[in-house]
Order: sequence, then C-alpha cells, then structure tokens
Amino acid sequence: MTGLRPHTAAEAHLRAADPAAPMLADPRLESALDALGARITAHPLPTRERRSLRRLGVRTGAVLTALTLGLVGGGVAVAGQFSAHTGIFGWDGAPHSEWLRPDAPDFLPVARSLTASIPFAPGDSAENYWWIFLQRNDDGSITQFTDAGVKGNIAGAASCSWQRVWLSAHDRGDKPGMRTASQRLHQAAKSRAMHDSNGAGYTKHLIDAADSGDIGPLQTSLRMACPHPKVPVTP
Amino acid sequence: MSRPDERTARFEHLYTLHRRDLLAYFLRRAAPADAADLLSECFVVAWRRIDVIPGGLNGRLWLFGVARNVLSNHQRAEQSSRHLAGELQLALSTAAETAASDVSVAVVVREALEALGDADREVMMLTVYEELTPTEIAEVTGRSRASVRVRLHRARRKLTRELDDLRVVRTDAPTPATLPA
Repeated sequence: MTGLRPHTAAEAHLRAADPAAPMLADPRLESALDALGARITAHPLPTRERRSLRRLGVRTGAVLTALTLGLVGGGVAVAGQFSAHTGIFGWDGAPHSEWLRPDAPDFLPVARSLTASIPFAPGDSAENYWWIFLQRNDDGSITQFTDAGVKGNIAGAASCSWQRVWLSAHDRGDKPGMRTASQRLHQAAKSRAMHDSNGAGYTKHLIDAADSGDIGPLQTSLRMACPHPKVPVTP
Repeated sequence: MSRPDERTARFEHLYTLHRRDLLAYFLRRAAPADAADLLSECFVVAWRRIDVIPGGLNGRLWLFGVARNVLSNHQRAEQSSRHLAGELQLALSTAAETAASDVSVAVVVREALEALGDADREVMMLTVYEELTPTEIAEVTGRSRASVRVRLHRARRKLTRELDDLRVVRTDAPTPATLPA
C-alpha cells in the first residue's frame, strides 16, 4: 500500500487488520520472490511449452508456499503441507477414497505406490499414463482425482494394454496369444482397482467380446476410450 | 513481438514492481499456503502473455485482472470440496488467526468484512488494500464506474454499521481522511 489515508474509521480498522501485512514484512520474502521470478523467466516461451510452464508455475510456487506457511506456522516444517494427500475423502461409490492433488510434488510417488500391483502388458507401464492426471484444463486449473480414480484410470490403461495385445494376436492369428490376453483382461476386470472405480462393468463387455472373438468392441475401445500411451507401444 | 531479452527485461520490470502487491492481494483473499501458488500462476500467465500486457499503470490493472481470474478459478475449485471440509477449515483458520497475537479487533473487522456481499466486499477490499480508484476497479472487474461507486458507498455504510454494532468504531480509531471517491 502506498499510504493513502482511509476514507472512514471503518476503513482505517480494515487496513489495520490487513492479514497480508505481517507476512509481507518478513525479510526472507524478497529472496523467495526473486527466486520465483528467475525460475519463471528461465523458461523460454514457445507455445509447445505452455503446458510444462504451467506446471512450472506450481513447482516454483512451492518455494513461496513453504515460506508463507512458515510465516503463519511460526517456522514449523512445511514439506508435508503441500502434499498430494488432501485429507478430503468421499465420492459416489467410493466414500473412503481420498482426493489427491496431481500438482503436488509428491503426487507421482503416491500414484506409483497406489498402482504398483496393476499389471500391464510387456512394453507398457503406468509411466506412460501419468499425463492423464497432470494435464491442465483450458483455464489453467488442474483436476483432482480420488485415489480410486487414479487406480481406476491406470487399471483402465492396463486393460487397454491387454486389449492391444489381444488385437495384435488376433491380427497374427495367434490363438494362444489371444487366450493369454483374454485371461489378463479377466484378471483386470476382477482387480480391486477396477472394482473400486466402478470400471468393471465397462471391461466386462470387452471381455465377452474377446472371449467370443468379436474384434469390433475392442477396436472401438482402443480408438475411442483408451488413453494414448506417452511412448507408443507395439505389442 | 519484441526480442527475447526485451521481453525478459519487461517481465522483470513488471514483476519487481508489482510482485508484493499481487502477493498481498492473494494473501488477503486465500489461505497463505495457496497464495504462493496463485502468485506464481498469475506471473506465469504474465510471462506467457508479456507481449500483450499494456504499458504504464494499465499494466498493473492488467495484472490485477489476471489475479482476479486466477483467484476465481481457485475459489471455484475449492467450493467443490468446501461442503466436505468446511467445518474443519473454519476451525483451522480461526485457530490460525487466534495464533496471530493482535486479534481482538482484527478478527471482528474481518468478520464485518465477510458480512458484506461478495461484490461489495471485492470493491471495498480493492479500495482499501490495493488502493485502486473506482475507475481502476471498474477496469479490473469489468463493472461500470457508476456501479463501482454505488457499491463502494453501500459497502462503506454497511461496514461502518457492522463495526458500530460490534462496538469497534470508536473515537480512538485511526483518523480518516477524505479520498477522492
């Protein structure tokens, strides 16, 4: 504030109660702000990099986050405060599922831990699908996912990896390969991850199609419903 | 489009000039933990759009406009979870305010501010904290100047009445002066 005098006594009180004032007075703030500015301008600006720059916005913010939390909390350690774990639970069909922040620094370790037991076809892995959670909306916001949602999306991607294997085996006329892929689709549908995210119903009709040798639903699924792997996969 | 080093210099100038004001803006309207992210997001937008930011004082207003949008997106996202954790958040924020020593008047004043309607509160805060004139507020918020003046008048009256009721506005209050309205 530049020091203009308030118009009324109420405004004077309002100004005196400015919640930002004590935090802005901290001498550590300037260097944290300098660091943030330097990190923003360190990134070039071609359009293709917009997305990563948006992610940069969150990461660089963590420096200041730590500082502002420290100021409020009297210097209490804050590393755990900006976490993927929000502590907020509940969603239709998954009342005990926790909402997770994909823009938190620890999101990927948390997501890897949640999905470690979900089997992908050879050559594919959950690492190919983190972009689902990390992408920004047009307005710059990021969508939160429940842990059931993270597991369900990755289980869905794993199911897609086996659908690719099945279709590839079908194209080669490889009956044992089709059987193996079909078994994996059965296992994926029965998995806890798929069940928790209510995705089992979706995969059942694909399994039925695979069991009966019907190529159409699997082709449609891969074309319309499956997420694209970050690195192309050839079964 | 200007050269990269010119763009960097321009951004650094804007950033140095306005970063504290923008951080204060977010600290007054969001949790401290979120204010840093919001500031970062706001200036990332500014960096991306450095070529279209108007010069002079209008650059400051442009930044406040971006800050307002960034904050609005953040608040929309928060609303979806507020009904679940609202009670806990309220308890925590009250505890945080109580932890900051000189609370008595500050908490009451903040409550009086909260009692204003959203639009009136926004106009009041932009006037008192960011020290924007009604014309500048109209620019930032997209409202007409007449509407801003009406809201400001109403907000001042209501805030005084609220604080009167709470017996905060006393004769020993900081001395007011007349600002151009």
